[in-house]
Amino acid sequence: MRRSRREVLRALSAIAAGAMLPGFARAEDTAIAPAGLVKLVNGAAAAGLNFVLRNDAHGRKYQVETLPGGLAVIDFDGDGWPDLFCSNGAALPNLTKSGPEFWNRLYRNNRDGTFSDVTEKAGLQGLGYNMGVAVGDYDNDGHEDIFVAGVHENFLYRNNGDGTFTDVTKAAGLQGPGSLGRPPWSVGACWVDYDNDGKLDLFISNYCDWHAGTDPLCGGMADQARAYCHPDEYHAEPMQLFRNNGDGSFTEVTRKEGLPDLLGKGMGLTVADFAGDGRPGIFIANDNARNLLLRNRAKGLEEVGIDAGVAYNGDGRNISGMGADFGDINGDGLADIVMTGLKNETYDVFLNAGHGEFEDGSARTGLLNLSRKWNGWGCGLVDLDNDGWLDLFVAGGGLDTQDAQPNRIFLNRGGRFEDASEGAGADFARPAQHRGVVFADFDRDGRLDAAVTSLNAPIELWWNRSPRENPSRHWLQLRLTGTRSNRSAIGTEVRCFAGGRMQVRTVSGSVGYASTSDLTVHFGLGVEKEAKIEIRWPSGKTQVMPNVRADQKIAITEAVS
Amino acid sequence: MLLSGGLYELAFAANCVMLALMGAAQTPPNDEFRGLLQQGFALHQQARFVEAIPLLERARRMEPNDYFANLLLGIDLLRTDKTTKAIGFLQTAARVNPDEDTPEEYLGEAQARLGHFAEAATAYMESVKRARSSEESVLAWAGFALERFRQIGEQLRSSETGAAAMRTLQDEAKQPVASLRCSAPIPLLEKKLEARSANADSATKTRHDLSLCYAVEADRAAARLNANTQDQGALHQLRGDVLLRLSNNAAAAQSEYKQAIALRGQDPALFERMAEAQMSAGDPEAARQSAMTALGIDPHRRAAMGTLATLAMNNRDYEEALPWLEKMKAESPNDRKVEVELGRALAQTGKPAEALANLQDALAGGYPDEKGALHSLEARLLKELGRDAEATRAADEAKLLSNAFQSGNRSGSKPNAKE
Repeated sequence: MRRSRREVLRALSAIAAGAMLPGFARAEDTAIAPAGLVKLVNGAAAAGLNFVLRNDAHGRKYQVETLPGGLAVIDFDGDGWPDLFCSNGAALPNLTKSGPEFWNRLYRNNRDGTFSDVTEKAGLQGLGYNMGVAVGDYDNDGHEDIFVAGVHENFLYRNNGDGTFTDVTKAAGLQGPGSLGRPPWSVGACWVDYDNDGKLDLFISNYCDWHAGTDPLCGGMADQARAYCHPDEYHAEPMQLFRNNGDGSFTEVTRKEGLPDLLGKGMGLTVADFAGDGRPGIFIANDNARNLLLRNRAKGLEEVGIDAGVAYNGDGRNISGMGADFGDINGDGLADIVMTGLKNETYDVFLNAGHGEFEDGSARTGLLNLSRKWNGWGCGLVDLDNDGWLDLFVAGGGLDTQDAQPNRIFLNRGGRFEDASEGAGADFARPAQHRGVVFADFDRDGRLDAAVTSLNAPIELWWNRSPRENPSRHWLQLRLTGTRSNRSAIGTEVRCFAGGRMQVRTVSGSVGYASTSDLTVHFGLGVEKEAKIEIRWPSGKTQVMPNVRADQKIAITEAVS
Repeated sequence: MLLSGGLYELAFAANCVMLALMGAAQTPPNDEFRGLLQQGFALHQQARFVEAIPLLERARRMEPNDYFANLLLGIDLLRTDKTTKAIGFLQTAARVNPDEDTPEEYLGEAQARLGHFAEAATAYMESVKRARSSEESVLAWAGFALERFRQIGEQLRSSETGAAAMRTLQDEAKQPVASLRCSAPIPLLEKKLEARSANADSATKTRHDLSLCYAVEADRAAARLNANTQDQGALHQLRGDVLLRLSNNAAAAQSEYKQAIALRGQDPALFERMAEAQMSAGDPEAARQSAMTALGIDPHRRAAMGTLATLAMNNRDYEEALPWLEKMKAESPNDRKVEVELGRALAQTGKPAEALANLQDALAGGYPDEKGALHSLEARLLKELGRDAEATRAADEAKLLSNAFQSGNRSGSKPNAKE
């Protein structure tokens, strides 16, 4: 019965010293998300979207099983209605699409709230274990093309303009490992005209050196104890940059452009003119490694992540960077960055302080604590309630089946987020291992919808059914076509002036995790019924459109003269 | 309940002195010796250790091999932070009375406090061996083993390779402890760790092995206590410790601590552990309150301060974290982890020079930065201080470290293991 003598003695000493600490009163964050401002309804099945993302997980815990799920919005038939392309996994360990369950899928928008599976006609069933998708008109022929990133094989599908695609990977010089000397595991990619020659170049986010059968044994010897290994157990593969030669082929210029090996277990990537110099840069979220930020100097790309303050968070720590997106969170006209991670890590927010430098804004925006419980993969800064502020949609879910989670919506209230997920609708709370998310106004009702993939579960199509009145929620959508600039208009900066505020977007589909959203630019205008639009094309041309009426989607072509 | 806890100690000491005064099994002491011992004990009972020490020293000079004089003096020196000096007296007491477990137990505490973990383990194990039916020594040994398990885990988590070992360890700890094997005697592994601290890979392996051994020992002790003890509070505490430290089951640990607190409501160690469990379970407000309760009872509870600092840092509430970190640093100036956290907090509160000093101290002291994150922070601070050339060098070093880690070319790296 002498158990506590030393503890008690310490206590006695303390009391003898008479030292007592004052009690702590701490102000709680009392912000409460207003319910019912964003309503989402999953209409995938009714719309004919029957895609199921297959990773072929059978307990062996191949690392690649954790990461598929990229998808893309593409208007492949040029009818102005956003279609949907979903990449898929394959059989393991041979990485082959052994049956239709592993096919990639292309769904044509029927313009009536339904979709038709046109995969076979399009010839897009695909090969290999695919991860991510990038959409852009790389040959400037007016038809959006598809790049599919994957494990040891990437594919470029040229849009023939007749509803079919041709695999031009080899002819384009994109087959094989390139400078890496061994086939990389590519997770995502983005199209960007980094040299501003009017032709889209290709940047690929590579993850790590992985081969079936070389995964370390993690979690335990017993089958039921096996777990996916931590990324630190693998070696990173450098990112790759391919310059568009203008003749349908590409040349890898990763090392030729003065860029060092960009190592970091690349995941999602996003594009914006973050430095305000008219040239788009690229942010690459890395999984437990320093994030990379490529600044587009006139002389070429330069990796500036550390100098810019985005390589690590404000505390100097890494997180499991998954998805990322650029967007002006605090309404100062500068592109900020949000990056998702796994639960307990908290998502990172890097607020743009100007001149290409960033500050950690996780706490300031409220996302630090709001995100603590949630695994985040795909994400997007999009104006879901058309109030003129970019909200955050996050595809939720952990690495393995026991850690399924629902998606999250964080509404932006003047630069500070509130979790509005609970009020978004009953079925929004459904947990899954969500991965990629893309955004488009699929039904063209002026409200941005979302499509989300989940491992071994049906795709979700979240129709945005948020109220449009009380107060009024107006909007404006712009579809840009470059002439001197690349035809997809990627890298174009669009400014929208309405109600005394300026909103800024960079045209880019690259969003969240391994995915591509609609290239259509969407502005929520709140109660404003018109706006002034200013377009700064990559060519240097500026177009101004005063008094543009709200609640319409307009097509704008870059002026020739 | 404080007094009931205190009574354990006092009852023990009273027994000691009663026996001493009776001269049991010893040469009859003279009156002066007896008087000094009695006065020393009286002061000891009132926790007036500083005043007790000169009396006990005089008594000991008269009877250099007296068991109780040496033991009490050792304890009181230990309680007044004269740990090194205490060890000699405790060793004498242990030698004079080889059947008594108590001196070895205090010796274990003293050696652990000095960071002599091999010697501490040896002493605790000897105490258990001597105690036979006493549960006190078993509990002390289990407490030490679990604390070392926690400390080693913390050390492992400070480096990426260590963190990988820690993940493996946590997976292993989920298995029945009976299936775990201890590869070598604990004192030997502790010595190995001490000797090879410069070699990162070897140290990581030793830490992993050592953690397993401590897990095994804690489990054994828990089983023995479970079978024998009448002290339900102690049992709940130990169960909680095992759940928190070994099984990583914070929710279940909270339940055990709650029951222990119901029995010993003024024990700061229980509130300290409860805070840790609550923080692990994702209940920061409850953790904060528990940690504050622990500090209200004993303002020197380091783990409670650590919990409060961690909670504040998690919220990026640097102003709130700073006082706790500064107190911790004042008590343990060479704690590199505290220096790093202090560096982070100072960096965010407009004190770049102080932040830099802490960060550079930690890096110079060997705190791992395999992915370059701390060098990146150092670069930022140097830039803020206008030391651009040094900032560029630090940023370059950060990139080198990051790339080396990611490419597997880092010192002490391991290639992808084959199945």
